[in-house]
Amino acid sequence: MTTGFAICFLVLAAVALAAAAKMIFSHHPVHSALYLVLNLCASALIYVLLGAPFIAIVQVAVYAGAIMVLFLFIIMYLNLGLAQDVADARSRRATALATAGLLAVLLLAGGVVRWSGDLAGRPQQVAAGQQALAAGQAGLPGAPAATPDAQAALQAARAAAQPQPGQAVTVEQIGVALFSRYALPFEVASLLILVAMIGALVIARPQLQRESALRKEVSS
Amino acid sequence: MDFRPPDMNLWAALPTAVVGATALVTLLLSVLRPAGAARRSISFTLFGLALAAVGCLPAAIFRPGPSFQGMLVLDPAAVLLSLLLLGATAVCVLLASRYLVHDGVDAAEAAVLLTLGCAGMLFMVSAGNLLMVFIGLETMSVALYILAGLAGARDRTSHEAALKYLLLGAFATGFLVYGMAFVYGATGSLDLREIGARIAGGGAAPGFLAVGLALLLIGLGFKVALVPFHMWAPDVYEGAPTTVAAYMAVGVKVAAFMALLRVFNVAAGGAAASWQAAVAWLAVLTMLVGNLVALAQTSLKRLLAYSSIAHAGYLAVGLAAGGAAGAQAVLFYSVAYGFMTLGAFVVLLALERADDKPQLDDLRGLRRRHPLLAAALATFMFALAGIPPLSGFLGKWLLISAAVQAGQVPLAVAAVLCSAIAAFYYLRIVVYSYMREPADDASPVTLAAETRQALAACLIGTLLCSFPFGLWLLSAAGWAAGALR
Amino acid sequence: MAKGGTQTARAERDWTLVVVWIGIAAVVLLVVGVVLGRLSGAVPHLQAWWQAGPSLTGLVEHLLVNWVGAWNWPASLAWLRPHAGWVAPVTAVLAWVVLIFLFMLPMVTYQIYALRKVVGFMQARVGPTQVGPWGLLQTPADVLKLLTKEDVIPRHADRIVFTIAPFLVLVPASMAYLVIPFGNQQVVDGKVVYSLIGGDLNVGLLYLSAISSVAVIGIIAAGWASNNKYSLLGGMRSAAQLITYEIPLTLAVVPSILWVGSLNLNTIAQYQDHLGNWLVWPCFPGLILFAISALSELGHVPFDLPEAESELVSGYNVEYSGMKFAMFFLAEFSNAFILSALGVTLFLGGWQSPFPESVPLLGWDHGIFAVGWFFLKTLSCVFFLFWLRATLPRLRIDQLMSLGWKILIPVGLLNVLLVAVLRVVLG
Repeated sequence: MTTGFAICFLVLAAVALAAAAKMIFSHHPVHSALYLVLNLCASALIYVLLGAPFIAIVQVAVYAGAIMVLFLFIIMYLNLGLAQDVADARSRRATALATAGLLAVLLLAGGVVRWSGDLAGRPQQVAAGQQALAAGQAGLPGAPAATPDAQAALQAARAAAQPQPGQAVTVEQIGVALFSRYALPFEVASLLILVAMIGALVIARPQLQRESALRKEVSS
Repeated sequence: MDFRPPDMNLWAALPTAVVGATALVTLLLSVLRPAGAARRSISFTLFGLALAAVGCLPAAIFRPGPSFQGMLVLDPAAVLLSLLLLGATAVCVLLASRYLVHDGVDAAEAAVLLTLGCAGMLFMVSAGNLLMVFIGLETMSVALYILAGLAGARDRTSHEAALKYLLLGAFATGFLVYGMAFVYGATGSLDLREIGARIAGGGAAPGFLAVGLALLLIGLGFKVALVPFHMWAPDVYEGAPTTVAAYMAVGVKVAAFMALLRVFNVAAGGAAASWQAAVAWLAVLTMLVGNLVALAQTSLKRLLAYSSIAHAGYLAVGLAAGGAAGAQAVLFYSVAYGFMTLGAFVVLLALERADDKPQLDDLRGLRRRHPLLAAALATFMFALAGIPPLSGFLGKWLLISAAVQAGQVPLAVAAVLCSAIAAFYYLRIVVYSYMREPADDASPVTLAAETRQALAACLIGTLLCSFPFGLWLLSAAGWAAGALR
Repeated sequence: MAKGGTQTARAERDWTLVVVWIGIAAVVLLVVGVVLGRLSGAVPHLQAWWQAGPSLTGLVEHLLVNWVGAWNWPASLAWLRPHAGWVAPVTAVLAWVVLIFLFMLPMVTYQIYALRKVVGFMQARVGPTQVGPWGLLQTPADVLKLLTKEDVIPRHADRIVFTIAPFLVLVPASMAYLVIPFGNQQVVDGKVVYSLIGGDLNVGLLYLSAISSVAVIGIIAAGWASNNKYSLLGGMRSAAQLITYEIPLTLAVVPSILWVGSLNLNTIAQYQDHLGNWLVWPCFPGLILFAISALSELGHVPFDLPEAESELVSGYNVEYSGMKFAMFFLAEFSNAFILSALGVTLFLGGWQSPFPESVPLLGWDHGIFAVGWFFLKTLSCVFFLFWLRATLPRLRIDQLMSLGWKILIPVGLLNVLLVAVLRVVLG
């Protein structure tokens, strides 16, 4: 990890976090939505740093460009004003804070354990870890016994095996993966989208029928 | 870039493919030939579901291993639950053709949504990869979000139920995906067998794995309504059309429990220490709260909702017990639970009037008003309560013995105590229908042909799961549990 | 300053807006260009350029003519040389940003002049004649006027969003120049000698579609923040139209990608090395689709509903004045250029000459000649847009929507299928 990478990452992470916080604490839904756009763009740039330009661009195009536009569209269409039920929100704040705190503790705990595990990883254990990784990949039952050292070594090995920042995952690689290893989920996802589409039509149809009836009335 | 074509074992995908194709053809037919589409789409859907059930047979015989790069595992357990889900869907389609259509819903739309939801469930029960769990869950859930709101034109609570289900479902999905990300971080794979191998080989970061499993448990716990995550269930069941509520109570729970079984018992079985206690506590809490709150209900639909929450608790006992015995208990209980709950909902539907939701008082003197219906209701209630020799008893016995075998005696004791509490409100229903005089204005109950068929199917199913026929299912479940990996 | 009126006026220093705009675009371009450029292999030639010596004249030379000789490093900068891996792309992109802004303003200014002249000619008028010879200074004068005009923010507007919105539109518009291949890339012995493309991104086309989809946010934000029903309606219409036509636009681009097998615009341009290889032949329906969708994306006649004067006064930008108004205008005309350039690159051979190499002068397409061909083609496309603008009537909003969803999208999908089959059949 170079200094340039670290600086870029820290700046982008700070922007993303600040935008997320502003998104939550903004009183106006439009401002919240715009901060969310900023947050999405900043995290897209983090993906770029991590060597996933395709995901980054898809994130911007789909989330910032399509979903958030629809969000803004609806917020503006309904002309939502400032949050009216502040008092109501206050009574729920305790519950929300407790839930968020719990989640934060849960996530941080995982991170801390992982981090301290990494600290324990020493270079000479990398070889053992790689063996374990290979055994794990092959799905063999005869993998080495689970000792803390082996785990740490395995993590180190995995860190070495992961793509380094600066190595881009190309669009071709993603395409090949989608049509070979992930062919089934890719196809089933189309079923999911179809359900959502049918659902949208089913929900909107009474309205459409009313409108077409109205149109007939006007024309006759 | 070298491209290796995917391993397409079509036998494994046959049932799901048939179900998906049925939905698409029904949809196209109803658009292209709108005249008489309602009847045709119902019968075509039923035919397609039957065909899919037949399509499970090659898988049961040839036993294809993990297919599509391990994405789809149509093992005996998956076949067993697929058959149950196909049956439940068929019953719901049958009911929808009568009751949802009565609510002003297009029959073809209802059939297509139910079928697509069924496809999602089938993907869930045969998922070999967390990705498939996710996509199957979403396909099922999106179909159900819409189905829950279908009666909105007549009943505004239906819209409310749909919205509530959607918001909480989306929230739960967030947990689920976050959990998958953590599990991936811990093990470097989304493939369930590979995750199992990494954990067994000591190759999983324990902290990450525990967090990931906790989040997965929360996400799937929402779907099956385990207790701290059950808030939505009574409102949604009550607001949704009863046909859809039945589908949720049976389909979602069975499919999500199979996913839980695959993720926790099978893949993360090596890391049981990190989740077993949590699942056991959730099970106890769920059984207690579900049964205690059910005691106070007078609305039959809410009562069944809390009853289904309590049953999620029983199923979680099997999950917490772990091992092949636990898996066998979960598989058996899923099937038994499916038939008896579906049956209870069918009776509820038969009692439903256009204007209000059936209350406990509406059951008064059911024996006189429709003896057959009263007998069926009594059977389902006895089964739900776990009275021997019915299916519920066999299931609970399996669950409790699995817990005892696993050394979790307190859990087993809790399950027994909670069943005792539950017996009170199940038997109260029977008492109302047999021992109370009917109200003066009580109308006689008439059963539509579709209701009769559905009722018969559920009754036969329940009896087949009961002693002595149930022993076959028991050994089949044992065999399937042994083949789980 | 109508104090009691519905609006309060606030004079702002418009030049600060220009500086802020350049700043934002520079920062975003820096991160995207540098990091993506690093990832997609643009680094070597940038490094070569940097190590030869980072001067603007050097860059211009490097961009426009064949690279000659090395430049001596001054001793004061020598310490940077080891860091060329990071410093080179940063400076290169910065230089590119400066070039873009040096290029964009005059280009848009004279595009407007050309529009007024062309439309005037077609409508039997003469267009601007008074300021400068043939009215040539008319549009620069207009620009100066806009820059010095009072900047009005309506009293009930959402000040922050109102101010940000023009940037949200203009910054993406200027970011698009990063990936447009203005000319060829000279490679000798595997080393890039000069390159006439700012960031040679492997995901160039996707980058463009992502950028253009973000600009929609600026437009609806502008419409909403003005707190005026006409601008809100205009913003809504714009957003609906842009979302609708982005899909056929993307679908129209897919056949070219399929044919060449790359998302890299430079690769696509290089592929079309003689007239027979131009992608317009296999992807002709794509070009038509692209032209229609591009017209709509630009809000040009016959798709100029967002600013239908008779219905909406002027659309999402009614309340804007001064430099902010100019920014929307700048973005619109800059987009016209970008989309024309994209169409040229994807279908009409990019910077390649239609004549064989052996034809003297006309057959050359290297360095300045490549740039010449590129501009010739692109400006012809821009002219075509003006031509349509002067010719066609406006569609109705429901016709617009059904054209987009019911005709263009299915046609686009069919076209993709057709080209895919053709590609497989022809190998």
